[in-house]
Amino acid sequence: MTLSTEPAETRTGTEPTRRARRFMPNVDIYETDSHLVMQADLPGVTQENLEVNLDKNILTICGRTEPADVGERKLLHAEYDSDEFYRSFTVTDQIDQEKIEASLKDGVLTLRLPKSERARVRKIPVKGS
Amino acid sequence: MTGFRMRFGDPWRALRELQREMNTVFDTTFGREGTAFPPCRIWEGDDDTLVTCEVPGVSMDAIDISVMGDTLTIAGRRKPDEQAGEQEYHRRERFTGEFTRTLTLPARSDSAGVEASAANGVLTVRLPKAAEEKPRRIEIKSA
Repeated sequence: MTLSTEPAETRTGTEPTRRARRFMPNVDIYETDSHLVMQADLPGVTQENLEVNLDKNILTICGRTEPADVGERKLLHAEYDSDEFYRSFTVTDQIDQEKIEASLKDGVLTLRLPKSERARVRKIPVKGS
Repeated sequence: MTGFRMRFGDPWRALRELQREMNTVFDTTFGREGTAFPPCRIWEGDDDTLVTCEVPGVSMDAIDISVMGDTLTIAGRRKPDEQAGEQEYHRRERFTGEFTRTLTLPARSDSAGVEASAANGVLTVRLPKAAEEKPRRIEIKSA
């Protein structure tokens, strides 16, 4: 398979302006004949609080969660503390960057990144003599 | 001696800042692997206990919630993406398969009144405390 189309993880030198704790969401990436599909776990993130940006080949996912509505209750035990999810990837020109689609359902972001024409696998028919 | 405080302020402040920064670095670099799936939070109120857990991509009919006394069990299954089929994964960090979490609550609950709801991949379970667990005010009789 064409490994070169895999978005490589990257670290941009940017710093957040808000003092939120940032977590890296878990991500699955798989490849079909025509697309790369990326799925990221963003529990608690709504569509309004999610930003997906593509700038100079860097694809950035940033999702914010609202504090839990718990009234006067006291926190006894916590295994997660989500302020913000943040992760970025490099997208090569093997991806048709104009046609990336994103959808969010039940806290899972799905990005469909179509391969550009020249990155698609082509079968070459072999002619018999 | 007094000059120390005046000149440097809180001497631990810098260390606390450093600790916070380090925690941020580790959280961001290593993600959230290592915690059991799904990660949970427990909140206690006067009349009830709230449990929230992060179950992104799990449909509610794939989750079983049971309560016995002060024990809450959340079991379920997270399916891999059906469209992925046998395709090659470049990265696979998201948990799939069956999970069971058993949590001990601060109080016994009234299992008939337990409510559960889900939004944006977060499950919230509200467990009213059993009557005998609620704090009771004892009147002191004067002799």
